[in-house]
Amino acid sequence: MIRQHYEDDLAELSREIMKMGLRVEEAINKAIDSLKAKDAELAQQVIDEDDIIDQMEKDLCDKCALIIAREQPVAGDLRHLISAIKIITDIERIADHAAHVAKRTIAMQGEDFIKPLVDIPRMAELGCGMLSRAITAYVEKDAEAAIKVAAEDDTLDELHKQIVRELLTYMIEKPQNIEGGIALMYISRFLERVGDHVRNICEWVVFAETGEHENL
Amino acid sequence: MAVENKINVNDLNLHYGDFQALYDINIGIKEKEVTALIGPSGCGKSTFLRTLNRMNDLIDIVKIDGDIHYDDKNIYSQWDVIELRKKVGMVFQKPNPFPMSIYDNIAYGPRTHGVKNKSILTDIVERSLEQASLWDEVKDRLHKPALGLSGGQQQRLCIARVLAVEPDVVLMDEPTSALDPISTSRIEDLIDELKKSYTIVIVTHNMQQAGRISDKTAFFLHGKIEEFGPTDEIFFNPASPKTEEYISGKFG
Repeated sequence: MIRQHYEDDLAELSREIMKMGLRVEEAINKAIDSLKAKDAELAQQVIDEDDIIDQMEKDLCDKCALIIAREQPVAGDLRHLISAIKIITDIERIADHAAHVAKRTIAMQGEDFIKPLVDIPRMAELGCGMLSRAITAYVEKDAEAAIKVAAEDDTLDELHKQIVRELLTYMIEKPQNIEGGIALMYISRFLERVGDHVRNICEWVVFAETGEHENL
Repeated sequence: MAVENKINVNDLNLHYGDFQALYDINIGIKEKEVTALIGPSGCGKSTFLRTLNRMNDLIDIVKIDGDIHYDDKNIYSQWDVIELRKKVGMVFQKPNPFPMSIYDNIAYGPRTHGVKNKSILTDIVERSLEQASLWDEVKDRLHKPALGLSGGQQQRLCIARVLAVEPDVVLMDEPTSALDPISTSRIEDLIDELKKSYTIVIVTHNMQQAGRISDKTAFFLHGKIEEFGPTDEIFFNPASPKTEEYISGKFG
């Protein structure tokens, strides 16, 4: 194999994207933990750490640009780099949603939840798993796996709808529940959006492998 | 026979003595397009290019099977070789001006083909140099030795020399490999301009060049065409993994 340096750069890029993904999973988990524990301090940490993730996106974008400038990649390598640039944007947006959840947690000021948290942590867990599997599919160049991950988004959408329906009943029953209901609805919505971004990532994995733009 | 193809090659096999250099080549070269031939050294792309205007006739041990049609006529049985080489001109890797003046370099071809009239010759020289975008640089020194020009200018002179005999197809064998980047981009711009009037087939080792200037790309490997198609597809989503590895610079 020649062009070892180039190969090393591409491998390093994959590792960096995995690292970024892990950090974002951690952000979601922390955001949910802070919500469950009504821990404003932990929530603030998620918000503060979002800057690190923003910076990672910029650094990775520059890294892709440099590889393109120096190595003039074509075909599969070029598609992978284009996909990388798109994927890191979606990963960064997922981190924003984690920060949004954290902001809601702080805004709730330790108020009791109008109902026990069951499905919201499930959504977060599912979203994190999807993100991790989507990034693995990118690194392992596995379009089939990406298509499967994208399909999991339906479950997330269903959970969100179910949560909204349930919260509505609580709010109709008791207007005092409206504020708390809306807060949880927002949080559910943020987590539902995580799935949409993962779906985008999966589409870019398919593009990297096949050169085709699929609507997954 | 397809109408729009300037050159059609069917089941071409070529041997140098016992060594087979080309295997079952089938390709259609479209009119007024740039077709790039790429592939590692020794893959047969230059041999193939030279076959198109019968340059391989000069080598005794070459044996050719299969058909090559130019303008729907077989180049071996229905074309006179002199006439063929007038219509299908060639530019080589190293600029090779004749050791004579710029003017005489260009006028050489038309004179050989019987043009004697001085003012017609002067018109041809001017038109050819214009087309090769060299006119402005040499118009005041037409009677100076061509070997006094820079490498890039010499190569454009060689292109002008080919154009002077009003060819139809221009074959180029790595025309910029001996030139600096500025001269290279001038030649590339020129190729882009020339394809409005001519059909161009170019052998290049510069992958980015093939990507920049050609409409179609043929990837040669071990004497066979591994892949042939629109350049956009070859460079963005090639069908063959071998093409992908080669254009990515991972072998070759």
